[in-house]
Amino acid sequence: MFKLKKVAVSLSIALSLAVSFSTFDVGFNEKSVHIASPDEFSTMDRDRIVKPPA
Amino acid sequence: MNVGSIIKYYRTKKGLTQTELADGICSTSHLSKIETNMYSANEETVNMLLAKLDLQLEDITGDLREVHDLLESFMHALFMQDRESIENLYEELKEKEDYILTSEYVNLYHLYMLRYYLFHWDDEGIQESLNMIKKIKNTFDPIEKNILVFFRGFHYSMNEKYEEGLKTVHEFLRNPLPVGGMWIGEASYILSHLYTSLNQNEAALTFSKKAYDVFLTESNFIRQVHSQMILGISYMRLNLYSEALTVYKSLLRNTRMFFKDTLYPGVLINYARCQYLLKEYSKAEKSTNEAIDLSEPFSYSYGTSLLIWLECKVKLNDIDKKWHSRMRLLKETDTIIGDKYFFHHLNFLEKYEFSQYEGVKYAVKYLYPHLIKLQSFSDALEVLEKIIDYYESVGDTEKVAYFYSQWRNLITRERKLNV
Repeated sequence: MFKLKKVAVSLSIALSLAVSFSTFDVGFNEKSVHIASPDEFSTMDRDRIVKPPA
Repeated sequence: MNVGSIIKYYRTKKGLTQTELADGICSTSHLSKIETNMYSANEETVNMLLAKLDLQLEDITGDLREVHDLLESFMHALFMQDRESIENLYEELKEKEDYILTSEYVNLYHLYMLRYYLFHWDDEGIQESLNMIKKIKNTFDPIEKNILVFFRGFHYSMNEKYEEGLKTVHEFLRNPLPVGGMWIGEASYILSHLYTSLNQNEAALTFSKKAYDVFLTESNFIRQVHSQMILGISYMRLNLYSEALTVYKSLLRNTRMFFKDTLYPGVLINYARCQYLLKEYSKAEKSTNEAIDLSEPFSYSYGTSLLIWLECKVKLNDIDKKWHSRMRLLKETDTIIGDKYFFHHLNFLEKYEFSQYEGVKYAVKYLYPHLIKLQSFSDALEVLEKIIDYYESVGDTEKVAYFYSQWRNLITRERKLNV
């Protein structure tokens, strides 16, 4: 079901790129969400893959 | 050729004053102008000055050719990631630095030194080079200016400023290019790397293929392997699993044979991830077991292989003592790495297996926002899909619509950046 919807959405995006996207408005109450501070960032990749060196 | 600077270099080396050297040949003020390249002296005067320094014009041109060849070999070694040659050539160049700084190769010298420090992630060296380049960049020719653009793009990529990096490397490819296919190959590779970081996998695929072709022609084996790694990741993220598996087959063999301590564990992890996505959990578990053994304990690769292994075991419904002890190892790894990536994934895994409701609640509140903060878009999309599936199954249409718009935002962003 979700896959069908995915296709539909992809098509609608292809037809109209009007959906604006400037920031990630996650839309949660920030006080209740853990927001990473800059010192928590590392220089490593964060994904379940390992990238080769640049 | 800046003969003036070279005469000054040898005069100072011999400990002569301008008056002593000029005596009987020309006036001191005339020599001063020649040395600062303000005045182009006639050949006879130059020859007389050189003769007094026990030099001939041919010696100088010979030295210049040597500097040219050294710089060319240095950059070539950097392209090839040939560590031994890089260090030897660096030493040789440093020995000749005084002379090079007087020659017409001074700009290239500083630019290539910047690349050297970028190669070593030496922040102090990078800053020193950039400060020096700032002072002399108005003397750069169009090619030198463009080499600087490229190295800036590389620097952005290192500092995870992916979008700035993309713009800069594309700008490099639009400007007059330095001679040699290696530059195009390297620029294409960096682009593919940047696109992978932004989860723009179609573009990453295009550029990694282009880079691979160039590296194949140039016999740059290590970069061929690097671009194949990007190629494998791109295919996998685009759900083109059989293409991904074909790439991994040769990558696994080549990295096991030639880069067992460096690239092989990473390739194993990516391969395991591919197997996991294909629902081949037993095979994925086997691959991650090998990766766990080979990875440096508590490194990022180690954590990733542990996470995939734990997920496989959950799927195989095989949770035992070993699972719990590896869970603790991953928590320890997360504390050492310190970006809470594994921490939130682990909590989600535990809660989701216990109850989908608890898991989704955790994903909405912590995991998904954290992945967005970390710009881990590929993971964020996957988590969103789980959240949407859950709300769909319980018939909460309002939440489905909301998270669906989040999902669409991520996809739209990806498409816009791909244009």
